Amino acid sequence: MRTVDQAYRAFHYVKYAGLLLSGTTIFVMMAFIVIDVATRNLMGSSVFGSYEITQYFLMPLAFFPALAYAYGSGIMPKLEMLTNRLKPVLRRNIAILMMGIELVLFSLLTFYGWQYALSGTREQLGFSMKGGIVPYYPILYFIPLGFLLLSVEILFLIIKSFGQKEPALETKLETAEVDA
Amino acid sequence: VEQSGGADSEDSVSAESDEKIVLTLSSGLSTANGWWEGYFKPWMEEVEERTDGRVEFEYYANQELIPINEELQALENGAIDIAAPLWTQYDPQRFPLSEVTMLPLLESDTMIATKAYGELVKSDHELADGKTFVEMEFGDRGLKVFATPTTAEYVISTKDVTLDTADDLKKLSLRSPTRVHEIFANNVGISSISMPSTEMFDAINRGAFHGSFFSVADWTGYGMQEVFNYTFEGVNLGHFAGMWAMTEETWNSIPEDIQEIMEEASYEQIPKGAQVWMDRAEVIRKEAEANGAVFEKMDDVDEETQQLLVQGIEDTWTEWIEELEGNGQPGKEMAMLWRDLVVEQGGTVPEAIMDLE
Amino acid sequence: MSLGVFYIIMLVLFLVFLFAGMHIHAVLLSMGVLGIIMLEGPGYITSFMQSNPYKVVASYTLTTIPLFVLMAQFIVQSGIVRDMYALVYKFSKGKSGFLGTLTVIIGAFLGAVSGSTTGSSAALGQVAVPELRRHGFRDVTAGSTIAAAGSLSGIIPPSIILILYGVVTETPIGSLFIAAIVPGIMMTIVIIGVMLYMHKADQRKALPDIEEEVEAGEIAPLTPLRALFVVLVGTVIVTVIFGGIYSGVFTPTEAGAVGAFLGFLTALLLGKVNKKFYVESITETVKITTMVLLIMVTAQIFGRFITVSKLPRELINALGPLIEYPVLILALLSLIYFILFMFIEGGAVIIMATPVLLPIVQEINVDILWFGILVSVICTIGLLTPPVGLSVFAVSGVTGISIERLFARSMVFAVVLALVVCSLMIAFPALVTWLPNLM
Ligand code: NA
Ligand code: NA
Repeated sequence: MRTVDQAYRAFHYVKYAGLLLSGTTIFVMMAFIVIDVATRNLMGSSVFGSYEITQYFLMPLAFFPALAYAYGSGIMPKLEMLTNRLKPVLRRNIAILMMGIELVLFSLLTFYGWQYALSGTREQLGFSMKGGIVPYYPILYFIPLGFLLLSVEILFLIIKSFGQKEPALETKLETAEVDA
Repeated sequence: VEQSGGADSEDSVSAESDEKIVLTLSSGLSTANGWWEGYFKPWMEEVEERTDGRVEFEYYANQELIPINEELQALENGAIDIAAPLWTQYDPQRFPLSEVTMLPLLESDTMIATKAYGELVKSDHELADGKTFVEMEFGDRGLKVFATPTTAEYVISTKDVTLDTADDLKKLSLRSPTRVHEIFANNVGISSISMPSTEMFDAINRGAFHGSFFSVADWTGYGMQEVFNYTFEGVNLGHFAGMWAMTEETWNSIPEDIQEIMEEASYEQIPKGAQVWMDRAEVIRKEAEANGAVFEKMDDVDEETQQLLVQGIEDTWTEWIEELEGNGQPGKEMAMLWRDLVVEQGGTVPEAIMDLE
Repeated sequence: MSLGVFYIIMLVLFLVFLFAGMHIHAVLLSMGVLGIIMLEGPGYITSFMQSNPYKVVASYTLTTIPLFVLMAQFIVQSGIVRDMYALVYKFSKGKSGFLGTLTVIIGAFLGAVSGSTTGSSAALGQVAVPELRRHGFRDVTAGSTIAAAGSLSGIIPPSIILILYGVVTETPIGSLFIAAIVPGIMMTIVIIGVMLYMHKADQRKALPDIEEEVEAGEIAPLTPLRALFVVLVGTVIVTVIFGGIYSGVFTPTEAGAVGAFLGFLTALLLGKVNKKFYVESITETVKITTMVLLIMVTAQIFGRFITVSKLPRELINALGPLIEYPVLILALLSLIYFILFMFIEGGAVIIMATPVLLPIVQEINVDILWFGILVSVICTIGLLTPPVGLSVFAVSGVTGISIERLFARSMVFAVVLALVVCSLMIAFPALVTWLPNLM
C-alpha cells in the first residue's frame, strides 16, 4: 500500500498542474473577452476573433485538464440516502463496483477521444478566422488526456478503497499540502 | 442502412428488392428551415412514394442525433446513412473547392444559383488530373453526393445604419458567417465580427455591432425580421450550399432502380426547393417593407462606393484563387467553371471576372 | 425481449445506479452508452463518444458558466457579499426572511443578465448559502431556494431555452423574451412565497446545531465607511452589467466576463489579490465548472439514447386520437414536457420534442408564442425535479448539501410553481400575450 500512496501523492502533482492550467485558462478567457468587448466598442472590430479562439481552444482547455482534480475533490454530485444507511464494508463494496463501472466508461471515452484526436490530426481540422484557417486539432489531444487522468484517479480511489474498511471517494490531500 | 426488423446497423442492405430498406437520415437543420421544408422533407416523401414503401426513412433533424460538422464521421462510422446536408462550407479545410459558391457576384438569385449548382455537381468538366469537381472533392472520400438547392443570396443587412458613401463602408461592422465573407469584408474595409448565430439577435438588436452578411429568406430562422431595417442588395455575397451525402459503400448496396428514383427525385426537387426560398424571401421582404425596412441596390450608393464594392468582389475572387492554388488546389479552374455556370443561368459578375482565363 | 420490457429494465437500472450512489454523470453516461448499444449495436456509439464531449464543451455561450462562477468567487473571496448581507440584515432589523427575499431577487436579476441556469445556481449558491445560514436559515431551505432562484435564468430573458424554442419553431425571439417577463416575475413571487413559508416553518422547530460551524469565520465589524463601499461596489457592478447589456456595449454572454473582471477589480481595490486569492478562486471555479460541464456532456449522450429510442415520438403519436379534446391535449402535452424535463437537460428536450409536438399544438389552435412560454416555465421547473435537476446538482456541488435533502425541498418549489404559474397562464393567457401585443 505504501507504494500506492507514494504514487498517488506523485499523481496529485499531475492533477494539480491540470487544475492550474484550466483555472488560468478561465482567467485568460475573462481577460480575452473583456479586451474583445473593449476593442469592438473602441475600434468596431473583433480584433482577435475571440469568439472562435474562446470556443475552440479556451473552453476545452478550461474543462479537460482539470477533470481528474475536480473528481478527486469530491464535488461530483450523487445520491447517498440509501448507501449511508449501510454498513461501511458493504458501502465500500458498492462504491468499488460503481467506480469500476465508471472506470470502464471513462476508459472508453479516453479511447474514443484518442481516435477523435487522431482523425482530427489526419484532417488537419481548423476554423476560419479573419479569412484564414487556424488549425485547432492539437487541442483535441486534451480530450483523451483529460479522460485518461480521470480514469487513473478513479483507479487510485478503487485501489485505496480495497485497502480500507470504508470507501475512498475523494482525495484527502489538500492543495495547501501540495503548495507547501 | 438497417433491414426492417433488424437492430444491427452494421449490416448493409441486401439487393433483394422485396425487402424494405430503412435509411437513417440526420440533419442539423431545424424542421422549419427552408432547406428542410423545400428539399429534404419532400424528397424523402417522394422517394417513399415512388418506391411503394420499399424505402423508408428514419429521420432526425435539429442536430437531434449528430451535431453540425460531425456528419462526415457519422457517415463513416455507420451511425447514419444520409447527411442532410453535409456542411461542406463550414469545413473549408476538408472541402476547399466547395467554397466557390460563396464567391461574390453582381446579380443572381436563388434559382440561378441552384441551377448552376446542380449543373456543377453533374458536371464532367475536368478541373485537374482528369478529375471533376465531385471526384476531386468527394470521390477520394468515398462519398456519393447530390446537390441541394443553394440558399438565397447573401446581402448586407443592418439595423439603423445605412450605406451611402465609401466612408460608411469603412465604419460598418458586420458579422461574417463564412470565410469568404471575411475576405470580402477585409477587402472593402468592413470590420468583421465573429459571433455565434444564436447570439446575433441580441447583439445586433442592442447595437453591439451594425449587422450581418445574411440571406433575407433565412431571417425568420433567427428572428432577424425584427432586427434588420436596412438591406443593401447591390452586391450578391454568394449562395450558401451543402451536399446531400452518403458513403459510396452504402449507396452501392442499394438496388439500382431505387438509386435511380433517389437521384431523379433529388434533381426534380432542387428547383422546387429554390422556389421555397424565393417565396419566403418575398413574404419576409413585403412584411419588412411594411414595417419600414429599406432595401437598396447598387444605384442607391455613390460612384466611389460602387467602385470600391466591385473592386472588392474582384479582389475576393483573386485572393480566393491564389490561396487555393497555393494549397495545390485548382482554384482558378474551379472559379471559372462556377462563373460560367452562373452566367449561363443568367447571373452577372464584374468585367474583370469575366476576363479571367 | 419486447421494447416495453427493455424500457422498464432500463428505468430500473437507472434507479438502481442512482440509489447505489453512482455519480450523476456516470449514471447518465452508463445508461446512454448501454441504451444505444442495446438498440443500435456497439458500432453506433463511436460517433457520440468521439465527438460529443468536445462538441458540448467547445461553446461560446457556455463561457457564462465558468465566468459567472469566477465573478461569484472574486466577490465572495473579497468579502463583499458577507458585508452586503450583514448590511441588509441590519437594515431589516434582524428579519432574516428579508435576506431570503433579497437572495431570490438577486437570482431574478442574475437571470436578467445570464442565460445559463446552472451557472446562476452555482454562482448564487456559493455566494448566498453561507450567508443565509449565518443569519438563521436552515441549509436545505437556503439551498433549495437558491436552486429555484438560479433556475429563474431559464425564463427571465435573455434565456437559452427561449432562444432555442425560437430557433426551432421560427417564433420571433424578441417576442418570446418580452412575453416571458410577466411569467418570470410571477415565478419570482411564488419562489419568495414558498421560501418565506418554509423559513417560518423551520423557525418554529429548533435549529439544528450547524450554527457554530458557519460562524467559524471571523466577521470584521461593519464600519460606516465599509458599508458605504459595499453599497458603492454593488451599485457599480449592477449598473455596469445592466447598462452594458441594455446599451449594447456587450452581450449577455460577455456580461459573464465583464462581471468577473469587475469582481477582480473590486478585490484588487480592497488589496485582497495575492497568490492565495488567485489559487483559491480558480480552484473553486474550475471544480464547479468541471462538475456542471461533465454533467452536460453525459446528459447529451443520455439524450442521444432517448433520441434513438424514439420514445418521445411514440408518446406523441399516442396523442393523435385525442385531437378533439384540446384542453386534454394541452394538459397531456404539459405532462409529457414535465416528464421529459424531469429526466433530460432542458435544451435537449426543446430541440428533440418541440418539432414533433408543434403540429399538434397548431392543430388545436394554441398560440405558439404562448405555448413556448409555457414550455419554458415547465423547463425551468424541471431544473428542480429529480432525478435530473441541474440547478439542484449545481447547488449541491457548491455547498456540499446532499442532493436528496435538496430535492425534498426543491420538489415543493417545483410543485407549487407548476400549480400556481402554469394554472394562471392557462386560465389567463393574456398574462403572456399582453406585453408582446403592446409592442
Ligand atoms: Na436569463
Ligand atoms: Na428534472
